[in-house]
Amino acid sequence: MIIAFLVATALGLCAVLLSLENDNLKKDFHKTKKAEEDRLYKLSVIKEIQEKIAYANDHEKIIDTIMVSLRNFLNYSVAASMVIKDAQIVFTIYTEEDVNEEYIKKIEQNMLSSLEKLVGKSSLQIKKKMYGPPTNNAGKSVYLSSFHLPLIANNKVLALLHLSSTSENAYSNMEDLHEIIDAASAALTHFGQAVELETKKFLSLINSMNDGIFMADNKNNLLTINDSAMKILGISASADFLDISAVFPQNFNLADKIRNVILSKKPYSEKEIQINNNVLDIFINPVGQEKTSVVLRNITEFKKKELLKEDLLNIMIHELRSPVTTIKDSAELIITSKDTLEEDRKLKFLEIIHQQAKKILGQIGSILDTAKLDAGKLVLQKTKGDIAKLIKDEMQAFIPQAERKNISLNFELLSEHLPEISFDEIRISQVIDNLLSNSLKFTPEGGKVKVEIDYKAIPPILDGISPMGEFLSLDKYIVISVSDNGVGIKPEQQKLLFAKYTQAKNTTEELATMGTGLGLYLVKGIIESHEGRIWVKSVQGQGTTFSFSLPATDGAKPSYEAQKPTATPLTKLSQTVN
Amino acid sequence: MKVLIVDDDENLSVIYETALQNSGLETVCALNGKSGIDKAKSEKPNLILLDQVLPDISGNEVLKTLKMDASTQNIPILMLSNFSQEELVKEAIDGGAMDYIYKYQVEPQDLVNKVKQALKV
Repeated sequence: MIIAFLVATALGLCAVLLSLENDNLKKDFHKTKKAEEDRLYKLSVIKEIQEKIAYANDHEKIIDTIMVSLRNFLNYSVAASMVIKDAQIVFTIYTEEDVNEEYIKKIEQNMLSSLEKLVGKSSLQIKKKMYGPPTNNAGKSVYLSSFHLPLIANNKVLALLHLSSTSENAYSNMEDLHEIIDAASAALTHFGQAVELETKKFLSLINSMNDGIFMADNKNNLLTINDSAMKILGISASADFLDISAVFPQNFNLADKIRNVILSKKPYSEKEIQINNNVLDIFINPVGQEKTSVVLRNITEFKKKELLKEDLLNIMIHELRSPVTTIKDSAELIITSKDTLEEDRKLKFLEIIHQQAKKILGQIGSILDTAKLDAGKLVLQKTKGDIAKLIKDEMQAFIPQAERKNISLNFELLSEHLPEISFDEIRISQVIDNLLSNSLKFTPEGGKVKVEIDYKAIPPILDGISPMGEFLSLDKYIVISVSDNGVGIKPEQQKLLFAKYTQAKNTTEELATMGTGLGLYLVKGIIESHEGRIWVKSVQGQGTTFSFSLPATDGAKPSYEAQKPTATPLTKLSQTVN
Repeated sequence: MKVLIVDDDENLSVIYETALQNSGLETVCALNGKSGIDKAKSEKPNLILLDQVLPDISGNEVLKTLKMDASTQNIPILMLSNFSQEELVKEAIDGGAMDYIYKYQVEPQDLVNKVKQALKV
C-alpha cells in the first residue's frame, strides 16, 4: 500500500515536473521564435533601406522606411522626423494616440533645438506632413518620455528622429533602433562614397573629351559642363545657363530648343553653327524626363581643310584649263584663219598644241604621283649615273625659253671630283625640270638663272638649327642648287612651299601663282625618297635659291638623328644654310 | 588701235596677238604685272586684256594700280581668267574692269569681237 502510494506520488511528481519542463520549453521556444521574427523583420527593414539607397539615394525615403517600421519594435505616442532636403526641413509626424497641437509644437521646438546643436542655426523653411489620427484639443499635451536619434552619413547630419510616449520610461532598450540607424548610416556613407567616386570618374571622363558637353534642365539650370565646352564657348567655370545662351547666335534660341527636346523626347541637331571663331555641329539629346545633354562638336579644323581642298581643286582645274584653252584656241586659229595664216605660224600653233598636250599629260602624271606618294607607293628605279650630265641635258630643254626672256642660264660645277651616285633618273629629271621651270617663270626678262653642283658636308639638321653653324657630321653629299634673281618669295609663303595643303591665309590667285602646289610637294617627296633633303633661301625682290642634297654613297644613311623635314622651319634654314 | 595683252602664258599671248592682228589691231605684250603697268603707261594702249593670275602681282592688284593712276585710269580693261569663282569676278568688276572673260569659254574670234565692241570699232 505504502509502496503503491510512493510510486503514485513519484509518478505524480514526475508528471508535474515534466509538465513544468514542458511549459518552460514552450516559453523558451516562443521567446526564441519572437526574437527570430524580430531579427528577420529588422533584417528586412535594413535590406529595404539598402535597396532604397541603391535605387534613389534619397534620405527622405530612407527615413520614411525607418519610421514606418518603428511601430513593430517600439511603442510610441508620436514618432517624428526632420529631414534636411532641397534647402528646407521636412517635418513628418506619425501619431498613434490622440494628442493636441501643443504636444506637436513641443516636439517641433525640441527637435529644432537638437538639430541646431548638430548643424548650427538655420533659417530653413519647414514643410510639415502628418500621418495618423489628427490632433484634437482633447488629446494629451505632454509626453513623459522621449528620445532623439540623428541619421549621419559621411559626417553629415541628414535627419533627426524623434519618439515620444505619454508613459514614463518607455525607451530603456533602444538596441534595435540603433542597429537599424547604424545600418542606414553605413549604407548611406558607403553609397555616398561610391557615388562620389563614380562622379569623379564620370567628370574626368567628360573632361577628357574633345567634344564640348553640358547638361541643362527644363528650368534653364546648367547642371554640368566640361572643360572643352567652356573653351569652345569661351566662358568661365562660374558661367550659368544665361551666359551660355548669350554666346549662341541670335537665331539659335538654346532655351527653346532644349525645351522642345524635353517635350518631344526626341534628339535635335544642327550643323555648322558659328560660335566665336569656331564652327560647331550641335546635338541636343533628352536625358530622363527633364534634362538634356548638349554636345558641341568642333569642326573648325575640318572645315578649314575642306576649304583648302576646295581651293586646291579650283587651282588644279585652273592649271588643267590653261593648256586645254591654249590647245582649243590654237586649233581654232588654224581652222578659221587657214587661208590667211602663214605656214610658219600654222606650224607654231601646231607645236603649241603638241607642247600643251604634253603639259596636260605631265599634270595628270603629277596628280597620280602625288596619290602614289601619299599612299607610300612611289617606287624609285635607282641606277648609278652621272648626275652632272643629267642636269646639263635637262637644262638644254630650257634654253629656248630662257632665250625668249633674255635670261642667262648657267651651269657650274663647284667640286672637281664628283662621285658617281645612285638615283632614279626620271624622278631627278622631274625635280630639275620643276625647279628650273619655276625659276624661269619667276625671273623677269634679262635676269639670271644658275645651276650649281657641289660635293660637300652640309649642316646635319637642315630643317632645324645647327648649333653655331658647326658641322656635326662629315658625311658628304651631292648638293644641287637652282638660283635666280627673280621676284623672290615672301617669308610667309616660303613656309608653305612644300606643303600640299596649307593653313596660311592666301588668296586663290596667290596660290595659283605658285602653281598647283603639287610640284614642290612632289619634288620634296622624291628627294626624301632618295634620303636627301630640300631647302629654300629667298629674299623678296632679290631672288630665290632652291637646294637639295643626295647621299654620295650607296644607301648612305645620315650618321645623325635627322628630324624629318617639315615645311615650317624653312625661314630658319635660310639663315643657317649657305 | 592698240591692245596691251598682260598674260604670263606666252602661248596664249601669241594666239591672242595673232587673232587681234588678223583683225587689224596693233598689239603689245607683257608677261608679268610690273611690266604690264609700265607698258600701260609707256605704250598708251586703247584697251588692256589683263590676266587674273600673274607671277609677280595679281591681276586685280594691277587693275587697282592702273585705275588709281591718272594716266591709265580711263583705259578700258577686260579681265581674263581660267578661274570661275564668283568672288574673283566680283572683285574685278568692283575694281573697275569693263568685263570679265572666262578664257576657256571664248574662241579667239569671240575675244576679238569683245575687244572691238569695247573699242567701238
